[in-house]
Amino acid sequence: VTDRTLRVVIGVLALAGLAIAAYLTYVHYAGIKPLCLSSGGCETVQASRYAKLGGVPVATLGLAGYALIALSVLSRTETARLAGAGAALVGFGFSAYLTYRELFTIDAICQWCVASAVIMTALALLTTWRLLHVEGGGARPAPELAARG
Amino acid sequence: MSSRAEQKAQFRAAREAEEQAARQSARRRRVLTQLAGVLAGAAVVVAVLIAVSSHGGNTATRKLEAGAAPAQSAAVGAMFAGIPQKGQVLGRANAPVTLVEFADLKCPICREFSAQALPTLVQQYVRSGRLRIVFEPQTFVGSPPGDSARAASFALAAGKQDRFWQFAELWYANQQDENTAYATGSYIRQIAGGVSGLNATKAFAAQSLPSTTTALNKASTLFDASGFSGTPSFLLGRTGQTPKALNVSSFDPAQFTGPIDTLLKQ
Repeated sequence: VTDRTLRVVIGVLALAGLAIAAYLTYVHYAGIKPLCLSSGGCETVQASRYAKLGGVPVATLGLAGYALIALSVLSRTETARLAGAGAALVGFGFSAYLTYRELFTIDAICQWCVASAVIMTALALLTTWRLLHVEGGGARPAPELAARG
Repeated sequence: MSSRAEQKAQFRAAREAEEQAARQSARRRRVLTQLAGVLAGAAVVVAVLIAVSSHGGNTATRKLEAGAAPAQSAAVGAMFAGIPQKGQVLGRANAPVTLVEFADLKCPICREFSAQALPTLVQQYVRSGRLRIVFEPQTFVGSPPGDSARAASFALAAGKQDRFWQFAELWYANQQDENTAYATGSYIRQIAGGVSGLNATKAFAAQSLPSTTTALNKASTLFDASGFSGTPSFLLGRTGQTPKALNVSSFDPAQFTGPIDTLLKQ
């Protein structure tokens, strides 16, 4: 898999996650009901204390995380790959915790949150893969090596 | 000459191969170090986020020590003083609007409704006879299984002495971690001790009556039939008519008072 392909896939997934987080942030601040397949599930999750972290809606934190991952694919540097993987791994860990809370504490499932958790899991895998298998910066061979032979 | 050139080429190829292997090895080490650093950093950040989420916004009550009086029993008593109640129903029977609350006594989110919205509803609507609230207790929150049912069946038994709401609200005011088995007989008796006029011994006896089991089963059936999946959930409607699901995005009292006012105008 080339770095270009990885960046495109990661970028598309990050934008999908960004859209979900933006929608849930809007729903939170507008005080309206989220569109939901299960009766009351999304409202229950949104109304729970786990929907906020230190007073900030977790959807807003998700927005920041997805934005950072999306920005990380614009650069081919090692720093960008590290930042993308770091953000995705944090997002994955916290999404896993929130899914646990949905299942075992809130007893309600929000499809938007599950979709976001699935996207974040895929992003954690892809950004880690990118960190491990893509070589620095897509740079051309160093001049001394190119000139040799 | 040709053999010297070949030798030089072989040396160069060998040297380049060694250099490349060294570079690859160095890169592998660097990448693995980076990965370990990123994983460790992410683990620390996630741990902090979880700690803040679990405790930062937690308004959970302190542990109720054995033999201690439950907190807020006077406030709960004052909240319901003078308001008629029968079984699970709070408020006048002829109130024009009925709110049905599906909640679990071990559910922390239900406690938030109880703390944030219920006082306003009781004070502004129930006390004036415009709203009645029916509590349909659910028994699936927390672990181990059965702990929640013990609390709910005692609340229903307290309802036979018209003390359902005082017991339930005092329970919420002293609610503990949902994943610990705290709804023991002694804990229930401790909470019941804070409810003025409640005979706990009688209530314990009424817990095992068939009518208590029937009420629990009915509450569960109604919850499922309403298509709900989590607690708390609500039905709202004109009394005597089929109520509809009330979906709220928070427990701000306005989420309830708006729809109630609309129904009162009908």
